[in-house]
Amino acid sequence: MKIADRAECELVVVGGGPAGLAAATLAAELNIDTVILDEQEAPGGQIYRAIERRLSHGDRVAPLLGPDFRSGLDLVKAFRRSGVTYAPASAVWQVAPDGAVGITQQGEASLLRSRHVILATGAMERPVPVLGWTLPGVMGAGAAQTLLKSSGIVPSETTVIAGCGPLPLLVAAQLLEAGVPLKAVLITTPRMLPPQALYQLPWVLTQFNEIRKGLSWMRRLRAAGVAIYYGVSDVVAEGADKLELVTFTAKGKSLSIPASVLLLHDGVVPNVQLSRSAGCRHVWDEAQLTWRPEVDQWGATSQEHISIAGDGQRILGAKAAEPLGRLAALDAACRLGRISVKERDARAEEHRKLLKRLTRIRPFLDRAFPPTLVKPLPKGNTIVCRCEEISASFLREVIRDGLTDPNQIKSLTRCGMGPCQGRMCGTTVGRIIAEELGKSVEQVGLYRPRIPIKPVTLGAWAALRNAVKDPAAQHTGEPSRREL
Amino acid sequence: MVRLGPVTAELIYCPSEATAFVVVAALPDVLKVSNIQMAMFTRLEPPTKAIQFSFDGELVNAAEGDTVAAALLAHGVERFRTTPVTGAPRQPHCMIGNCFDCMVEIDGVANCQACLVIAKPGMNVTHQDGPGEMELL
Repeated sequence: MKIADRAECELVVVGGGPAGLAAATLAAELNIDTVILDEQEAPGGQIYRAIERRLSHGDRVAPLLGPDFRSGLDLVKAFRRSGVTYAPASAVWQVAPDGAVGITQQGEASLLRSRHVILATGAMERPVPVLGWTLPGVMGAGAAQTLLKSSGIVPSETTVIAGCGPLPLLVAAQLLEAGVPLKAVLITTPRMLPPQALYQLPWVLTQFNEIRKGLSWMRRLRAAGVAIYYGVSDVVAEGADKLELVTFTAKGKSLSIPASVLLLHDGVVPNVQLSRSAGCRHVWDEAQLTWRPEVDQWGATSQEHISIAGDGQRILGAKAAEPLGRLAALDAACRLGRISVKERDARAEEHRKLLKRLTRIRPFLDRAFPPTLVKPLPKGNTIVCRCEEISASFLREVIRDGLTDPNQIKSLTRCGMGPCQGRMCGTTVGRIIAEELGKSVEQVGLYRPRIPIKPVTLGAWAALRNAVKDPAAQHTGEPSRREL
Repeated sequence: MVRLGPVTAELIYCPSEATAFVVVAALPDVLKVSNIQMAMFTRLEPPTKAIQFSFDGELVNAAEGDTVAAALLAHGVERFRTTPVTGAPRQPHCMIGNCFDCMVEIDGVANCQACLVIAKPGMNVTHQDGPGEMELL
């Protein structure tokens, strides 16, 4: 629907993935006037991307994606039946602390006023600043999976996958199934599990299905004769105008593989651009090397009218996102006076039980696959800020010259000031400053994101009749780190 | 909890295969090196419902529902834009709207994220060069 026609509603849900769909569906059941804003054309999020179209086609792609993908259909169907107002292709460029949401749809900007907002903006692949990561041909393993899900497009057979965790193996297995003979899979974790992950094995054994899935991916890779390296480090993408060669270190040896596509993956992190620009408090997660919003058990943030559901809180996976969405919806219903605290708590019980069961494998995954590629901070000519092409050595130079605040560095060097607004470099810049100064990343802080956090044309902006205030500017002039 | 120390998971699960993530895979003896250059991306199947739009004046075939970025990648486009600082070529990196490397001009509007826009018949798409220009009146 055309979102500019709506001026207000009770609840806005941002994001059409499992958390957002579950939250909106339950909110509708509780008779809350709900609008869901989705950047995509159809519900499903990244995990169930294009699921309705994909499963109605009966083409080659759906079988490749497996039963996990198909399992999202019930959720999407229930959402379609719920009667929630669905706004597709809607980019959210502002969520103000008072619940006003700025949206662009088909080039038209509008403001939607609400009493509560649930951010279900999910996860993004952790940016992996290795030498050459800006070359055409280098993309995320998740990005390649997006191409497969939405369009049945696969990389060429001179593809190398590098990284850690389950996703690179899943993508590799899916590509093999699709008939793409991969060149190599570079696994950045050691062949041996770290002891801290082994402690979690008793829990893992209760998740037999998950283990079996992983095993089958590995078996397929081995059966196809794909070269697999463990404990890989120093991954570098080389080439003049596009990727030509992938070099890396394995078992102390320097190796290289000619390739046209390199798929990088070092885990996923919460997508915090909106929650940060809305002024929600965030904390630094040293184990996961990422910022994440501070939330309570309902997903409520430090901003009264804003809560967060799903992987945008912290990475717990697509299945866990559903109960997290429902918990946020119950809390919103309580805040909107639709249900009592008692009813909220009673209804929450089943969702909490499910959440507990679905997240049992998480401590194992977190410990077995900590961030690896990004663990050593970039050095020398490695580009940190993709947009403004700022290198690690230049950053270290300006830090030694006395620029010690991310926002100061942004203003004076343009690092983080390009179109991505620091999404790809913010965390790395903070970590580099922390390392140079011997401080913690929490002390150093992060860029202050400025609205609009998505491009809005001047024409669309001028056509907006309501005044727009930058929520970050409403704070009282404290240093940037306090505004996290 | 039993302290296991640096014991490989292989030993624990022996003789069956260990977890997916620790499984032993035979390392290849020799790396096969080939210099064959191929297209970066291909379609598994030709589109059932094809639509057409133009990129830099060239006709591009897309499947209904493709994002502009997906269609351009399948078409073999390796340069979506060049950077404002060094003029380096860029191609989509994240495909979900975060990296902004896929920015192109669509029907006269610059800085469109090609990975978020669904391809429509007759669209006029062009790559973006460097810092762009602005006419000051």
